Amino acid sequence: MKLRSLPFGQIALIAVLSALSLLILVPFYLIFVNSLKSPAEASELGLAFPSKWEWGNYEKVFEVAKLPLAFTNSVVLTFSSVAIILITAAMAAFVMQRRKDGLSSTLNVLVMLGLVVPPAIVPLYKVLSFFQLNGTILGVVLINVATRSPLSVFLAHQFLKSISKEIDEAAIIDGCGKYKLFFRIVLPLMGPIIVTLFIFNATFVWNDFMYVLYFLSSGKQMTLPLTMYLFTGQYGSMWNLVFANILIISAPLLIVYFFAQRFIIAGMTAGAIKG
Amino acid sequence: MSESRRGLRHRIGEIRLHKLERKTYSIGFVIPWLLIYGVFFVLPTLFSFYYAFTDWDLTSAKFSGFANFVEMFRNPVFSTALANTAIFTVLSVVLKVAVSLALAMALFHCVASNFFRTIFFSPYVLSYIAIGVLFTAIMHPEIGVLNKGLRAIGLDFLALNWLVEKGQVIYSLVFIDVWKSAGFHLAIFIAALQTIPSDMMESASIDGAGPWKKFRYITFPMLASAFNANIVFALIVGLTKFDLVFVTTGGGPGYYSEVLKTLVYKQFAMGRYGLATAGELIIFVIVITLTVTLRKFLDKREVEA
Repeated sequence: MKLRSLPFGQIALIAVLSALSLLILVPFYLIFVNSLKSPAEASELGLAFPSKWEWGNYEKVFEVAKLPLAFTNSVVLTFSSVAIILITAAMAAFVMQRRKDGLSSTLNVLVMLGLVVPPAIVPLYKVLSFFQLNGTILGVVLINVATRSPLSVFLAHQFLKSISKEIDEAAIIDGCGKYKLFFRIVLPLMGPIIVTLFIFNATFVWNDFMYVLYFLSSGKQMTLPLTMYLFTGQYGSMWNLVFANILIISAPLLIVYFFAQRFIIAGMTAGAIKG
Repeated sequence: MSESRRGLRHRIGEIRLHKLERKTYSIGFVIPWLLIYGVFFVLPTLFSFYYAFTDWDLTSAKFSGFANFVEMFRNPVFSTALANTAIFTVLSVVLKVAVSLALAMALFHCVASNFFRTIFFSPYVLSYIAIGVLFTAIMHPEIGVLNKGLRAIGLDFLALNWLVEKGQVIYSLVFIDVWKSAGFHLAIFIAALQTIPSDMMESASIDGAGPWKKFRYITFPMLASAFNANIVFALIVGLTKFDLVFVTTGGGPGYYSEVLKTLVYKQFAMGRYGLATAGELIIFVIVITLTVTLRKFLDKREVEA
């Protein structure tokens, strides 16, 4: 009796959820279909197929936005930020979790503050000027590390609780030094949390444009998200190029997302669940 | 005698162990993080308590007392930005949590739950720049897909001037942010739902509990920490919202969708650093006060539930 009524419930549920999915899928379709239209057709912002598929739009975006440069900048910015976050956060969390003294609790307070306090961006201008890092990618890398690492330290700290301290003790008895202990033994065991931290930090840094807007101005340091402004400004009406550009700047993460979505969802929600 | 000797030996051992511990887990491991965090996070935060009280431009910073705060509070745009930030925060927190909880419950009982989760989560990996520009197209009052669709199904009265009318625009921005983030909050709820032991539900069913009672007395309390996480996260995101507003409307039309963070950025862009720092300090105070208060309230409820 109950089993027979189940399929109908499931069908209704799937129908409702499919209808709701359209709220997500139609905008994606809109981006795709309009990125292949002529300027005149694209300016209608509609859902119709293009009368002629203009694959050349992508080439145009490539040239106008100097995509290779913007892509390189985004890659450099993202990977150096994330690499520094991962290694510094893992090391800090290691000592924080293993030691049970004043240092550990002081660090804990600092990390907790970092989770809640919004970064003071304007005074950063002063700090960057002092180190002559204004307008440099390195400056933005360091800001990304400073403002985003507390969550990573916190999560790495949580994870380290699951790696028994007896492993450390056994290694030390075997004559293992402190650096070898961390880099050769503990760090490899932190693999899963490193993957998680890599994913959500990379996503946020890749998509971020606030720090770029504040601290990088010249065209040479243009990152991928900011190329959007080249088309919404002077090319205001060139909606076909706008949509092609949306697709190009979203594609790298979307592709990674569809292949590794389990890790991405787990990685990105871990931050909020534990935090 | 031998008792105390053993105790002594034990203590010496402990001290030795402690020394070894400090050597093994040396402060050297912490220094790189501490240095970057200290210089590029703690230091500017401390600076802001000084620069907020100065007339600071590129070259000099003269102490000016509360002048920045007075100017900020007298600026009519500030009260608009404050009101918009409040509207945005409250509405986006409520809607994100409500929508994602409803979706999570639906998905949890659906055989195709992974498939739908993939779809609902996908906007979360998009950049706000892409989303902002996309929605200026979708929400175009005359030719946008949203209004065309609404008119097509006879809901003409719902075809609003989404992003161009002064009383409407902040609500449209909330809608866009919910569109982007609902899947994220949904994933958190689903993760929590999966931790509820199934025998708990079964025994409740055997005891004759209906779906509502099971939700009210089992699911809801078991979701407490996911709730708290979602609420606190959405709260901080809402209060410090910048990217979406900046890209989609730039605070406009006029300044009708200005929020605190976009206001601060505009002061910064005009070179009025002292004023911008004061604005950031105000946001700082609001965020800390509300987060701490809410956390206390939620933690208390979590214990009671």
